[in-house]
Amino acid sequence: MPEKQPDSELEKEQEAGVEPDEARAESRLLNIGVSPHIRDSSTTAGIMGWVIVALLPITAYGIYMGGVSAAIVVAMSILGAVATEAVIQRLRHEPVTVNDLSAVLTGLLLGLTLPPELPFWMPLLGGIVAIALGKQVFGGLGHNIFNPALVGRAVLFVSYSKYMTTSYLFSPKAPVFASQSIKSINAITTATPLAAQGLVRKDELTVAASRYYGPLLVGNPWGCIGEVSAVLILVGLAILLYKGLVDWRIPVCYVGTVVVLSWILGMDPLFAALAGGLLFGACFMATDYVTNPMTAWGKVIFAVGCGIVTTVLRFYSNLPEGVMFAILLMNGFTPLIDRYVKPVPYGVRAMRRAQAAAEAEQAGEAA
Amino acid sequence: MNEAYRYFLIFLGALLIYNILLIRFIALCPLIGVSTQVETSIGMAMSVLFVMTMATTASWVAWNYILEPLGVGEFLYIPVFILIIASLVQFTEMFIKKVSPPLYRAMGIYLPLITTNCAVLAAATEAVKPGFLKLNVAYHFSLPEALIYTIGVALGFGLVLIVFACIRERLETSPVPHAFKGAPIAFIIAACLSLAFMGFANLLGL
Repeated sequence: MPEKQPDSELEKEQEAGVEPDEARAESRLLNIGVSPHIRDSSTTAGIMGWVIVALLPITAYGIYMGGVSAAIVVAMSILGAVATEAVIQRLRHEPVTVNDLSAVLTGLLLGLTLPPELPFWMPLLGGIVAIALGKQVFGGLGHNIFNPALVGRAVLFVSYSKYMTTSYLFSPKAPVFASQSIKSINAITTATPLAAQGLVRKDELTVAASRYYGPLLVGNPWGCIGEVSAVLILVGLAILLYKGLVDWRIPVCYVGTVVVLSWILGMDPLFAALAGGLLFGACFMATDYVTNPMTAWGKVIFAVGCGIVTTVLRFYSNLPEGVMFAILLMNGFTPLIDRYVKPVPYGVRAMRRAQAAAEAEQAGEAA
Repeated sequence: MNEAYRYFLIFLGALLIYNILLIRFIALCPLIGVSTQVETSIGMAMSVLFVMTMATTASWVAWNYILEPLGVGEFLYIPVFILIIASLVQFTEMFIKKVSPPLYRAMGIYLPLITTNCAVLAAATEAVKPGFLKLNVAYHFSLPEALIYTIGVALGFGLVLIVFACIRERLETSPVPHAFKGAPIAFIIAACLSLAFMGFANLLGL
């Protein structure tokens, strides 16, 4: 069979451990996918680059607020992610695709969801775990089931919960417990600084919430690095939407669901939207291309599911913030959603309309 | 505690918070073995739901009316429950073979293996025998409570199994490294899902 030949050659080359560059180039030409196709000049590096640009304002401000240690956290997680990507691809005899910036983006996203005061090896470990366990083990870019940055953060969160939940207290601009050292606190059962401020106690919240709008919007010194300013996150989202890189449905439905549910449960709605990691997660984590459903309605289901889980975890569990777990959980449900929410094939709607019209006509004639 | 709320807590605890597959890692053989196709896993989930519910009902009756009054429950409960489960599985197997031969073939060895599926024995024991339960809502379940609990466990099993099968079907075409193909990647997915489910820990104080 002549058609089989290139395949078997490719396999032979792979078995021999030779980098099949030519075969790879050829397979790029014979890219098989489900129609319709659009030919476009956008590249992976271009898209990742724009997402990084959208993250730059919040990164810069987060580092300004968190000080040198915040810069070290971000740098270390990027270093961990990029180095792991390069090493694994080298080990797998694949072309090293660090230049497509996807590992840089993963590292940056991870760094921004960490508190600014961490020992330097923790974000490094997070970056390694994010790429190795979250991405490369599934086959690399485009094949991961879970958001790699969140996998890295979740592993750090359950392994070093003490550091992850208390270290922000010692960032230079945070007024709480500034005189103590981290060793003197055994555990604080909160994951976001806002809870440490006693904000999430619901009775107090409705009264006092509006006091915190200002800090949450422009400069909140108690958050993870990427949570310092809601305004800058929205600026990033605006860039992504302007470039057409994310679907508006996910952030809108996600935040909307949380706002409505929190309002029903008696929390100040604007506070619910601004506090914690919600905006960052909804704008930059949940909108990841690979790990959310393909169809518009699938995305809506995904985002509403994230919103429900986030609110439930915020109100009824020991964790004051549930964004990470909610997005990871819905990432897991994405293949299920994709399986049952399918796009209507092109032309079917017109056909149905025509059928309905014909039936109506027939019915009219019969009458 | 309000009766309906109690049932809700029992159900939610069994379904999510102490999910039998992802939090307690019981019944790993069907999780790895039957999750390669969604259809098969739906069949498996249904038959486990059926077997589990029946097994708990029968075990509850056996415990409360035979074993406990005779004072032999402490050392006879395992053989008696296993016997009950094994007969129910035989029944299910005959039923599926008659009704859906393709499903019967697809499930292969895993159908008779429900007999030794630790999840069924675990659910029956926890729902029936006092002192085995992790949820701190009751020391001893009444029959409706035991049934709600078991249905929660079985639905939790089915939900995770089906989600898991969808993920594995999607990964079918992915260039997973050779060393990780099959069971290893399945365990890594299970670990990631388990991380996500850890968010439910201590939900509602359970």
